[in-house]
Amino acid sequence: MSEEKSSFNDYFLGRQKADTTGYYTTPAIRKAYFIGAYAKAVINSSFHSKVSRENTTFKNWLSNQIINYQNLDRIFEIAFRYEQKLKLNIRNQSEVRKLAHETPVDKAAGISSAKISFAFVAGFDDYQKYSKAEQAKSAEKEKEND
Amino acid sequence: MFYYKGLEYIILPSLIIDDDESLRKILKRLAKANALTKGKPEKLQALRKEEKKILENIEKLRKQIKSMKKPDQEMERKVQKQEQEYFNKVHTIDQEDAGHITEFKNQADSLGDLKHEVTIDFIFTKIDRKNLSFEVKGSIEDVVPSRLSLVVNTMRDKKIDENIGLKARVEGKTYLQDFFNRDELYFVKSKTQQHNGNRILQERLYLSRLLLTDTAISLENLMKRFEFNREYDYAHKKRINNGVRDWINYPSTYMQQQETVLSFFQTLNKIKE
Repeated sequence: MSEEKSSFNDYFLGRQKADTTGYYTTPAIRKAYFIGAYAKAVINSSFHSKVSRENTTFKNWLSNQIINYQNLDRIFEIAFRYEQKLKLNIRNQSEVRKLAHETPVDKAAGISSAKISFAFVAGFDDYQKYSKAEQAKSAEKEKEND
Repeated sequence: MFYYKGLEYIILPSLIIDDDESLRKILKRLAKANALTKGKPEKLQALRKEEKKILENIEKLRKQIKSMKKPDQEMERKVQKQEQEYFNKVHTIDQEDAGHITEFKNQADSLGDLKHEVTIDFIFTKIDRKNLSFEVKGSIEDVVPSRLSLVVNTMRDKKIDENIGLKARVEGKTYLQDFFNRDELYFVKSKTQQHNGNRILQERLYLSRLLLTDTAISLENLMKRFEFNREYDYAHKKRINNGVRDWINYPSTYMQQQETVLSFFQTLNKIKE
């Protein structure tokens, strides 16, 4: 079973491969990408939270945030707080959180909010695609088992 | 002198090889092209009127069908026929109503076989008919006609629309105006476009120059435009609905358009570091 599980990291690697400008090689961009994906993961699964169903607090909170380099850590922290509070089950044992957390960042990154938010939204959107693809896969599997 | 949707411009061909005979031919053809464009706005207006009429007809027929108790095949057929006509009309309008870059291309195409012998300058002017003077507002110089075709073809391949306006959007199309004509759209929304003609022209020239000459855009600049479009609508209001940002609800819509524009500029080799 476990070898069939695909990793979200592949999505990032795919983007990095397709990119010719060197945009995705910057660690800060990678971080923004994974935090974006993590934010989407938290939004998705808080909809099915056992503690409070169809919870949208994090989604509303994120709507009022400026997405820039300084704010990334805060977005990550709040997302993590909601993950714990709402006892969320994120795919692959919170793989995206680990990816976001493990990406190192150099301190002197003077990178514009436009670039950061582009990566953030890219990760956000890719996670949606990823989780849809995974859902389709598991639905197929259930059919086969029937 | 050419007029196109608020743009007034002169086309100056310059020959690569000196040849009086060709030059005369070129000027003749341009004059012909000019004469052809004169009736265009009226033609377009007439087409739009017809479109509206058909739409009204369909509405009327639908109402009649609704009020009838028995389903009538005759009426259904009528509606279908009108719908088909409407569809065709929309298609012709789509072809007639080209953006300004396509318009430039059409004029360059009118040179026919001679278009490989020239480079073209576009001089944008404002003519004051009272004083019989004119003012040069800006120009795009040394445009190679094949470049025009390349840009127009790439736009068509990627389903990119260069028209500027507040009309209904077609799904799957990407609109350059979302990223490059935001000031103009804002002026239209706030009804101040009369006083901001210069800014509007400059904005259009920026995009045309970017596409037609050697200038390039930085990734930074492009992403700023993406960010602005994600955050604000044409009236510069935040794109937010029930406290949730549009891009959070529909990330793929925004992402897909951004990627199309990005790949468009990459195909044309327009991104600089």
